[in-house]
Amino acid sequence: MKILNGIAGAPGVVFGDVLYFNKKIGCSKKMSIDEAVEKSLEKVRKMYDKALSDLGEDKAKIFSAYEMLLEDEMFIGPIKEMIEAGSAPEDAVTEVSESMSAILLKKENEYLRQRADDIRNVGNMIKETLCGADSDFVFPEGNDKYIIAAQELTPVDTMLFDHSRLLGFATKEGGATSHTVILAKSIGIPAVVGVPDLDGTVDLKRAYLDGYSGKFVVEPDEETKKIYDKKVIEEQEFIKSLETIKQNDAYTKDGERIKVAINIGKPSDLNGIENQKFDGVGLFRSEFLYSSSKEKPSVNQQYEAYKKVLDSVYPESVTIRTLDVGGDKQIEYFNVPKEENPFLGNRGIRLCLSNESIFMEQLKALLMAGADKKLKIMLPMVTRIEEITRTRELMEKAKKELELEGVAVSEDMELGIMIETPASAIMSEVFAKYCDFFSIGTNDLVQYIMSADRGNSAVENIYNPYNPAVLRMLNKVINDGAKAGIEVSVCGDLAANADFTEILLGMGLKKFSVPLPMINRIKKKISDINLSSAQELVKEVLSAEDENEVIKIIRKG
Amino acid sequence: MVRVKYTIKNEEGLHARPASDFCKTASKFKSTIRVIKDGEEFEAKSILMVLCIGAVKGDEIEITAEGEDEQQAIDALVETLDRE
Repeated sequence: MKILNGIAGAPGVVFGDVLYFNKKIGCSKKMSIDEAVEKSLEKVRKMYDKALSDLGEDKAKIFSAYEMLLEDEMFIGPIKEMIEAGSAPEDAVTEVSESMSAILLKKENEYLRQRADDIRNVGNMIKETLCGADSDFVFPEGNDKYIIAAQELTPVDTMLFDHSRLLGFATKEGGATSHTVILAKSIGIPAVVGVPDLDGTVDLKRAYLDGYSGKFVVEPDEETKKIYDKKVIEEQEFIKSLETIKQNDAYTKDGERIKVAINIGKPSDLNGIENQKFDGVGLFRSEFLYSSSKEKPSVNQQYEAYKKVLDSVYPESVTIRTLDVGGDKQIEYFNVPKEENPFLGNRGIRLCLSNESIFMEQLKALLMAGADKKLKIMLPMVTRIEEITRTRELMEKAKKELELEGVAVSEDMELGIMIETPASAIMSEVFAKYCDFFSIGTNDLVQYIMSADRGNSAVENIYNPYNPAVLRMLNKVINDGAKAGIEVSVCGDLAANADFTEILLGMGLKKFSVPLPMINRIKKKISDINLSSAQELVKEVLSAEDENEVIKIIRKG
Repeated sequence: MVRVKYTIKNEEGLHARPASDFCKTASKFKSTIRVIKDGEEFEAKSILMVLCIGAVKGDEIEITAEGEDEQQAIDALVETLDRE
């Protein structure tokens, strides 16, 4: 057995035979550069049409960009010049496409850096055509489906595949935003990318591909098979019921309505939610406004971004978290000196309250955008009541100033806090009196409770959400919130971790907030759970002495 | 020669569809069309060059056109940018 680790690209778990996609570039039949470009153009136009009918306009756009590149004199011209000056055609193509993509790779903008790949892909395509190396990849006879493994898959390569024969993709190169991942997501199959140890030896072997954990398990042993077969079956059931889950609200098996909201980082994260039912936005991080530009965002810019989300989600609510940065992110207009220990330093609400004029601008933009909409404002990194009361004062002041200008403001917005520090969790009973809601940010909460940095591999076993210290804290906060009659949600990683769904429900959680790709999986999980047995499970895990015992209890169920 | 200054308003900057629309519009005209940003000149009829400008929201660019249809070209390009 060989377990290859990579990046979880597209979700899903499958089992099947692997086909290794090998591109042979030999230079047998040569053609002229003009012919090769012409042939390539024909190819991309066909691909555009195929992608348009199979995948829609959005996915087809890439081929229209390829077409423009192939017609671009600034690209083809220098290649021809080099050939005329005596270079071998394939060398000329390599040279020009490499130097052009190098220019784009130097840009700060992520989008432009990705376009460097487009240029290289088009270059490779011309080369392959020049050398007559049109990929000879064919699926074996029959209707069996396969996991395709490869060094790298370009959009051109992937268009060769008959989608009905695909189980999933595993590639050595590529990141979470590569074309392989985008394609896999759009046809609904798993992908694991960036697998350093992947090579041709996996060809024709049986394997599990787990797009949730980023694992590619080749020639599994009996023990592993048992674990994975269960996952594959769960996945198949999930896919079968997906359409129903998507269009319905979430209920537990015994009929309790549970809200499942989504987490977003920018307005465009809401793209693709047309047929998806969800209970509003449970976490809208506002940092993108502050990190993508050198100057601080204007009130108007912020207003536009918040309003876009509030409008498109209405009548559901949107929880917007106020700026959450600290000394680890240097933002020029905030006066944060380099700190020895930024995670215990001037960050989140502390930083905002020490830069009141910038904070006031954000509050004003929020109040304006929330007019006649359902807005919830959430403060990060709260440790003391004073931080909540001071924010309320500032908010009243902002409201008065706006009203004097005759601007419409939100009248019924709620103010709540992110529970992510041990101080706020321990004091949740008292804090509940000052808040309209709690949202538990489990990532930082686990880090602060366990006093372990989750990015530090030396202590990654200590950063463990299964630890009873974390579970007891969660239980306390959820119950204190319920007693005070305020809404409690969980918006960190734990909300999207199916291992914790039953425990959180058993503790009494009524609202989950998860990343968009995870929403239906969590809704499905909720629908399989009985609250009464969930409460029993909670009793058991809360009496566990360490994380191993907790994991044992969860897994046996 | 006609020149015009323009501040990019589009959220995505001059990338993706805006870049390809800009380039397609420029290609319809006979005039030589260039985009100048931070003192650097770029050929407007090349998608590669338009991408290399790397203009993001808030950046100021200058567009110049020279030829028989220079005024029409500038008008059409500004209109394309406004439309995005």
